[in-house]
Amino acid sequence: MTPLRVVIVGGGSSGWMAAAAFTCLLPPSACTVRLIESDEIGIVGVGEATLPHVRYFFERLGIDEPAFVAATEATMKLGIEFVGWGAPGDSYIHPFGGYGRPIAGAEFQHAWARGRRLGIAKRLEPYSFAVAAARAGRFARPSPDRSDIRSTFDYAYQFDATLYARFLRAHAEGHGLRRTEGRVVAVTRDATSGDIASVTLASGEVVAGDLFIDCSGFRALLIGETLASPWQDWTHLLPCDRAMAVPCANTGPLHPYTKATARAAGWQWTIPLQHRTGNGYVYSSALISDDAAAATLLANLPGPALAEPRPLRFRSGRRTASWTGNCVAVGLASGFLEPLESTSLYLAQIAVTTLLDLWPGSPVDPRLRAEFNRRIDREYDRVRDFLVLHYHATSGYDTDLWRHVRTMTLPDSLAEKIELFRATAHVTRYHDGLFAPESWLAVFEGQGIVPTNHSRIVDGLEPDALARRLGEIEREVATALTTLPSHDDHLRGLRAAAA
Amino acid sequence: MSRAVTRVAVVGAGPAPWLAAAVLAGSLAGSGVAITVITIPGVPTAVATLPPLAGLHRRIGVDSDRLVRAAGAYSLGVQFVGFGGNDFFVPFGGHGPAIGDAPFAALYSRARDAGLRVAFEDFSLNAAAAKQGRFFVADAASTAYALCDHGFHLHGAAYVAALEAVTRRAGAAVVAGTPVVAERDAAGLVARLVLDTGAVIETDVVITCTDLPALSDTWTRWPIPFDRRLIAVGAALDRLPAFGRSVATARGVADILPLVDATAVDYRFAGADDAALAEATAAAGMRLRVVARDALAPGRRANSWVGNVIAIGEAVVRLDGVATPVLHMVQLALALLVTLFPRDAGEQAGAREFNRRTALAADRLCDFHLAPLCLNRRAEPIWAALRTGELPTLLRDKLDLFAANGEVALASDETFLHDSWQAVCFGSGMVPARTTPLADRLRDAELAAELQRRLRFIREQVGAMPEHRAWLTPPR
Ligand SMILES: Cc1cc2nc3c(=O)[nH]c(=O)nc-3n(C[C@H](O)[C@H](O)[C@H](O)COP(=O)(O)OP(=O)(O)OC[C@H]3O[C@@H](n4cnc5c(N)ncnc54)[C@H](O)[C@@H]3O)c2cc1C
Repeated sequence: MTPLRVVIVGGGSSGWMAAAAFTCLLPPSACTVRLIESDEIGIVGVGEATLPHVRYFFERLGIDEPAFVAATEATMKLGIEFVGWGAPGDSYIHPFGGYGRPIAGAEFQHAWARGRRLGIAKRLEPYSFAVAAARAGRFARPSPDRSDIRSTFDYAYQFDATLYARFLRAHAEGHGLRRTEGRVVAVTRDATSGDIASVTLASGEVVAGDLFIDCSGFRALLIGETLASPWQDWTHLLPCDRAMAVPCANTGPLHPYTKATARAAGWQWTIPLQHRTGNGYVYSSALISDDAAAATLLANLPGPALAEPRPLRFRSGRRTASWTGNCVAVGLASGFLEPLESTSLYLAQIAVTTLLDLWPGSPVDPRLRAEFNRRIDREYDRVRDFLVLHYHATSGYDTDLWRHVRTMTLPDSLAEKIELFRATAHVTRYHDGLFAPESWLAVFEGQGIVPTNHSRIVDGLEPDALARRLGEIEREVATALTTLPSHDDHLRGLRAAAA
Repeated sequence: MSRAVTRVAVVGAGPAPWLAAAVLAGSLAGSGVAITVITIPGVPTAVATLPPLAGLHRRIGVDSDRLVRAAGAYSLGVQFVGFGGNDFFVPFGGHGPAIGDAPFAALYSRARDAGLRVAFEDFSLNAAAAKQGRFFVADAASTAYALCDHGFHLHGAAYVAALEAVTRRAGAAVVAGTPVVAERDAAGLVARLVLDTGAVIETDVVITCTDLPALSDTWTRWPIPFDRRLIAVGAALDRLPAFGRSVATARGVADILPLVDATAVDYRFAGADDAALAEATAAAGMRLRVVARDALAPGRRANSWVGNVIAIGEAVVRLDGVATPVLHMVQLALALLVTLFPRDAGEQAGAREFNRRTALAADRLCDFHLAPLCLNRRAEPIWAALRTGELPTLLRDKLDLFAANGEVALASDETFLHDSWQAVCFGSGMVPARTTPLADRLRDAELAAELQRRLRFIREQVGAMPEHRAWLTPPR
């Protein structure tokens, strides 16, 4: 069997994630991998906050945490703080972790909801260890002991996007990846099958392949420009279409979480890295000009700006078939859901690992393609609903953007989910994929969607006993918190380990 | 007009209503809900359960092991016999761990392509133990190899008696009789069930495990041609197997459930009853006594929770065969019900979720049940029709994907996961056209050595296991 010739077009985060995975995990007998990228065009250069899944990806690839953290100036991420979403001035954290413990055989939120109505439970935050650690600026890896409250969370990284791509590149090249610098100027298709046969570089070189991975970013050179895989637009649900990004200097201790602050025309991110803080204003171009966005961003930085603000344009939506013919789109080329929950790199990772499981021969078996697209669609749909919830359940700004998202027709899947939670405190758990019930709970509660009911299982709890139990959990969290080092100390420890 | 739910009637025959009543009584006692069980006549000869039911038993205080020793047997899985290819085993357990990044099923495919002449089931501790008349309860060594679990085969009457005892202890009232009339209140909700005995049961919610006058919903039919059923019993098997068997005949399938003191046979088939006993006898390989004959119509009720009537178990899912997990459907429904249980008789807040999830779970169970039927290689017209007939879309997609590369396309609300599907697909003789090259990193010799090591491990483990019957001897 001759190895499959795989051509990756694009060397941003997604191109290098694909390249690193294919070269590290597949034997040379299975495929040869070439990656083409153009320094002239460059990478999008944002995308610095992640989800915990990225750690499992690194584990598979044999990436060492201290080395990675040192090379990418990474910090630890316990969740996202949402400032001013539910109502002006409020704040909640969506943690990578759960709340409390089951009570009376029911998930925590039932006893909690009852406690709220009895006036004996606090808001959700004090019952989450991850939130407590985030607010206190402390960090340690989760405990392996399931009975310890310090095992009830997970964590991700925040890193420098350019250094990340560079790090993965070194890793992939160390495993024999062949990289070609050059701009793709033409794409040739097979006359009968319509598959992509080769790409032609500005240098005149023709690169032929069996499987093409489109990692060319928003340009979607192969999946869009060449194969015209239809675009499903979600701008009506997620109206922000621009971002202004600028790094600033760090001031004070680094918080182990990402921050998302609601603003009149969108929201602002704050992502602390070891050597700088990444900032950006995500907004709707229908509402404010780029200049106004830049001015708002610069006026709201936690430290002095380190560069000129850089504008980015995007659309929320996805390709209806990320895998078309012999071309698989990964990353921004396959779609984009705005960065509110840091899901884009996760979606790229899922595309890469799903492709590994469904690895084709040549020609591509359409059954593999169908399953790939089914899995990717499911992920996009679920993330979309979760993001829309953040916009929808708000009460702060009264601009067109916010009025629209508060009153728009929701996807049925989301409307039903909200209704069910309100009426029963129940959230369905998926077998796989994002997001877990705890995440929905965090955002529901954080943004003012309160259950009016709870499982009748917890009706039998005496109010005194319930209050005692809730108090115990709160104290357990608070006591365990004192055993954690500061996030800064943890990072120093990691750096020392890398040295 | 609102009506607070303080009284719940649970209607049905067999174990399902008792399971429901015991769970609800335990979960809702503190919420001021009184449960009345209305038992209608009819107890199944035997039932087969899936592993998760043991957890439910613990929760309601049923000692599963005691019950099994007195009136049942353990089951490590199901063996499919006579489907046209080799016999194969679908264990309640895995087939061994991945090696690094390479899933075991892909490694197995690869080794077989390279000439390995060992069945997929030979890598299952459950299957190997079962086929040698042994039984085991997972320990550290077996768990490190694969999750290994077991279900039960239970005498219907003894099981019902045990469930009745815990249900009564949990405070439920019990009435015998068959509801003949369901009277509704002004809001159209069922308020009263009139039994054939003349008794009248006032209720705010009805949970039914059987068809009721109050249920008038539509059914989706499942593409299973068996429309008759014969229930029979025979003598206990000497070397008591810790597994059930599904044996194909020229026009049906006989499920054979070994019990400590008997063998229960459930034969479902298409056509006339005349030769059924002879066919079941041949399938079971023993003399049988007929217990009952029935009509069958496999399918699913479109909506299980309508108004204040909530259908579960056989009132929602009708599959042919006892080895099919209707009790598992009951368990899934109860898990949802205790969370979503209404406070007001007219409350529908949880109904959509309940109906959606139970329908998904039932359809996925049906897919799994259909898979060995439609993958058969028998020549008879009924079997050929099953092979070539129209299949539910997700099942078609699943089989297509497995044929393409041995992956399992799991949907939501699946009861049977990768290992079970792989067991059916490999067991039925499917050969994936290719496998993920994640499995190709290991060298041939390394893979061969590792597989031999695993087979040796299984031989050693099984060799040290007690015979199944030894587990059924009461401890002194
Ligand atoms: C405002 C904003 C904020 C974001 N924040 C987050 C976040 O917090 N978390 C997260 O997970 N994700 C985030 N993302 C998404 C994230 O940035 C991307 O998913 C990630 O960077 C991957 O991008 P990519 O590799 O697909 O595309 P790019 O980085 O754009 O890379 C495209 C590559 O294709 C090459 N290329 C293009 N055309 C050609 C050609 N003709 N010839 C040769 N090469 C070519 C380019 O040179 C480049 O190497 C954010 C995105 C935006 C817009």
